[in-house]
Amino acid sequence: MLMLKFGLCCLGMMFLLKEWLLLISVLTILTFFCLTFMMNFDLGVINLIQLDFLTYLLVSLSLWVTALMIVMSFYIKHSKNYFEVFTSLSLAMLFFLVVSFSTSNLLMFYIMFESTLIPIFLMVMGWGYQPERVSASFYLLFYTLTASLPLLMGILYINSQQFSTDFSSLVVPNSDYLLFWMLIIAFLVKLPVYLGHLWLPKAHVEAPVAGSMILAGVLLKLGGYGLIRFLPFVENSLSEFSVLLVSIGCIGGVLASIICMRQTDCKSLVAYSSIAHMALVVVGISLNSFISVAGAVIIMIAHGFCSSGLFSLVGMIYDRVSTRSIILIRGIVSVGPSMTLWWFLFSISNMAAPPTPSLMGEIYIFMSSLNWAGVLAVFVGTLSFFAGAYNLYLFVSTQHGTNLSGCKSFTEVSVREHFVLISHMLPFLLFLVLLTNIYS
Amino acid sequence: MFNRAVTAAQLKPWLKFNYILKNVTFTVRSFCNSCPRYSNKDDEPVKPSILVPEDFQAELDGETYCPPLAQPIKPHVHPIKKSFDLLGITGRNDPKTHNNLYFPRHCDILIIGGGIMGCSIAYWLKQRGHDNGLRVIVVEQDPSYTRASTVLSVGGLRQQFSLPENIEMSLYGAEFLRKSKKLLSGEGLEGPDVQFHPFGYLFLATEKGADQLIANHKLQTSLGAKIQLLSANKLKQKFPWINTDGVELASLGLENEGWFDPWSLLNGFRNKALEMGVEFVKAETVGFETQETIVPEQPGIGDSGCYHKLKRVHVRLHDGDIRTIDFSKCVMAAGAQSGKVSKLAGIGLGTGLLRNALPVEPRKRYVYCFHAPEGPGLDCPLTVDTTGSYFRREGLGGHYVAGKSPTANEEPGVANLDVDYTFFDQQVWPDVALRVPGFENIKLKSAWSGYYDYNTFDQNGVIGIHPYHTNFLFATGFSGHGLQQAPAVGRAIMELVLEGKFLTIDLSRFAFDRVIANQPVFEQNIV
Repeated sequence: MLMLKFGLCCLGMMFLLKEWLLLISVLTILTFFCLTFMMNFDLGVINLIQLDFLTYLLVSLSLWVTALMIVMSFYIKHSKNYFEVFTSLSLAMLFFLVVSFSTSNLLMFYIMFESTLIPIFLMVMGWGYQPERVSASFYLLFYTLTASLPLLMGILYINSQQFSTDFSSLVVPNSDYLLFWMLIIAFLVKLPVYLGHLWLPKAHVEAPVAGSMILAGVLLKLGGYGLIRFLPFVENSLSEFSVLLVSIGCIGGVLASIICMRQTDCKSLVAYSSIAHMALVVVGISLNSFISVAGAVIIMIAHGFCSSGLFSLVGMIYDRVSTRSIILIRGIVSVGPSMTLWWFLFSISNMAAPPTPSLMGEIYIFMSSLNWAGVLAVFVGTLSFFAGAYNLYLFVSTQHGTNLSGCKSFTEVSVREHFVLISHMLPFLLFLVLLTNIYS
Repeated sequence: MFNRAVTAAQLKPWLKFNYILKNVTFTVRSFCNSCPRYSNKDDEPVKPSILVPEDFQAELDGETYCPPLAQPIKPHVHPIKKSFDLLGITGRNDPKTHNNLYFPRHCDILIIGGGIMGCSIAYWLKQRGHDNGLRVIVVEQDPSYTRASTVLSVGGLRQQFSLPENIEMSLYGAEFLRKSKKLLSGEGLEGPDVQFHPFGYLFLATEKGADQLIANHKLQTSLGAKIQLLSANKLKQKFPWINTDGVELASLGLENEGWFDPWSLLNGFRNKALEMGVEFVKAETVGFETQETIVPEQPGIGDSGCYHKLKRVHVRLHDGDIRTIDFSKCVMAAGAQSGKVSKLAGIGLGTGLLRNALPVEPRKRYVYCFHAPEGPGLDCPLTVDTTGSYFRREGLGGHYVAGKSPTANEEPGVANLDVDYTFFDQQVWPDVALRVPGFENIKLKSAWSGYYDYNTFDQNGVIGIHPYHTNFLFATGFSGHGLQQAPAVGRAIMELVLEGKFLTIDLSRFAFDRVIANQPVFEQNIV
């Protein structure tokens, strides 16, 4: 029932495709009022378990990021590159995302989980501009599809065993290791953890700005959300494999951060930093304690805003300087100091500096992981250190230095761009206030 | 888009406030900037090497008009259709789909011209760092180099110039050639064998030119070149085959001078660049597209605040298709055609900073190859006679190549590369036969001609950033001595692009600014 309502809502928004400004206003306002939709319990459609507002958080996040990505893709509108098609793809993506975050039916969740791939695939292929986008979209599609096929099989197996495909009716099995891996691997590749991460840098670099924003902002969270939802179901097997998962998470995170330091493409750098953040999420979820899962959720939401903001910043630089190479983008503080402010704020949020919620999430993860095993201090410490390192590297490389070629052509940050950036930053900072609710 | 030609009275009330506020803040800011308390006498501002005269400055501060350049071509294909087309054609092998699918539409640095300068710049840009991720595309219309100046060059390398920048560049050229086999080799790639003949250059001077030769020699030796001055007698002792009538003084290069095979060096640079990931596109540049941006008022932009940024180049493939390539920076290394291609970017067609065109045009020069059994033999440097004719040994079988720069009214037409043999009979042969009696009995074997990328302004290279199009760099106009300076110029452009300033050799005197400020930098020729 609810989904039907939401579907009608999205379809209704399709009529607003021509009225661009009205569309984004509706989306942003809906972010705050989606809670009213959530409250309608009809036929046990929604069952919010464990973290009461995980669904609410992720649905609001997806609505907000979708609104901002439509604002950011003004260049597509300006160059008349089929903006209506793009917007309808984004709205379709929004529909799939919201339904997947709010449904309690396993099969429906799987279908929506897979359906989000179609709009992002079309976005990368259709609006990307480099020849490598073909290979990038194939990587994206096939990594996720191949990994989620076992998930489908697992769901159907659960259906055959328990005669239901509802989250609330999952009976904890004794310890079915094969079933555990079949269910988990889809989300691990989606997150992504280090070993299944190859699609992410490619897809992010080749996607248009808006595609990167929704990919980093929300699609990666689908993986984390799936892990959290399946957590009580696989608890017994998890205790067997938690060492493995935590190791992959920690070491993969450290490796991803170190790779980040070597990147020459700004977008690629931010993409690898996403992998490092999501590694912490995996660690948190594998540890299966309240604090660690709470930390994982906080990191997911914080990263959603942060990464999306960083991708929009890189997109703004690309609009002005026509390059994403760190070597060629220099001295922004001399030619566009208003952008330096935003670069600074987003860089420090990405490196989890106080008072941002990323720090809070990281502290929760540190607490729980150190409690679990002291040796993890080395890995999470290294991860934290390199997070600071590559963010500083990105900031100093792009902002400081002499800028010769952009001195005449670097336009001021327009009001639209300020709106996008402040809309990323403000909820991010206000989020801390919301989080005081975490214990209730 | 913005119409600033309104007065405060005409504005609506809510805009009037903005207008007044802008003027007030401007006044306050200029007051703050001019406050003597904030100036520091010890920090003298760095004086630019090219100072624009006062009467130019006012004109340059005003608005620069950029003429309309190429228009955007075909409208976008529907993205869904594009996706399904791409899905359909990947996997097929025919070249047309390969072209469609894999044509690079975007690059970081575009180099127009794939001769020695273009390949050198591509090599230097990519070799910085292990894999610096720069996307470099070289647009070269003739990969077989049938009419390129590089491969038709005589291939000389000398340090005997009168400008310190030229001397330093050639010194580095010699150093690079020595290391070229190692530097330009890679995995599975053998470095080039440039076949350097270190026999030196010999400049002959009459009484009138002797002082200039001595002054040049002093500068050259102070910068590290090994040049020896020879009196007429010493010259006769060293080279008995020479006729020293009229020669007062001669200077001979002892080290780092000679000639080499330009084709090997070009291939060396090109293959190494290809190995490092540079893409070579076979196409001809036919236009540039600009993007209008609104920027704050700056010198050269003027009141309207509208700056036209060079964004995209239109290139025509061999089958007539026109494609576009987006770039962040563009390097003009097109050699003899540079003036023509720069005009496509509006340089020379506008007003203000775009008023001056790039003064580079093709000039045809002939090179004649003859066999002289009684010639100088092995010990023959590249001798430049007092009349301007030059000759050098070619190979080991008694062959020599010779040539001469024609005077202004003898300039041959540049429509084709046909050789005029009467020029040899009337101009070149008499001079070289006078200087070397052994050249009286020769048999002309063959001849060819090539274009100089001749800088009509001061016959020296134009290296640097254009003052209006700040993402457009020049590396052209070397007027016959570009080949030896290619490694140094490539490195200089790399420093300019990646560091923002010259680090090794300061070439700021060779910037395009000198054309606008009308301050030529001449080589002092020996008479």
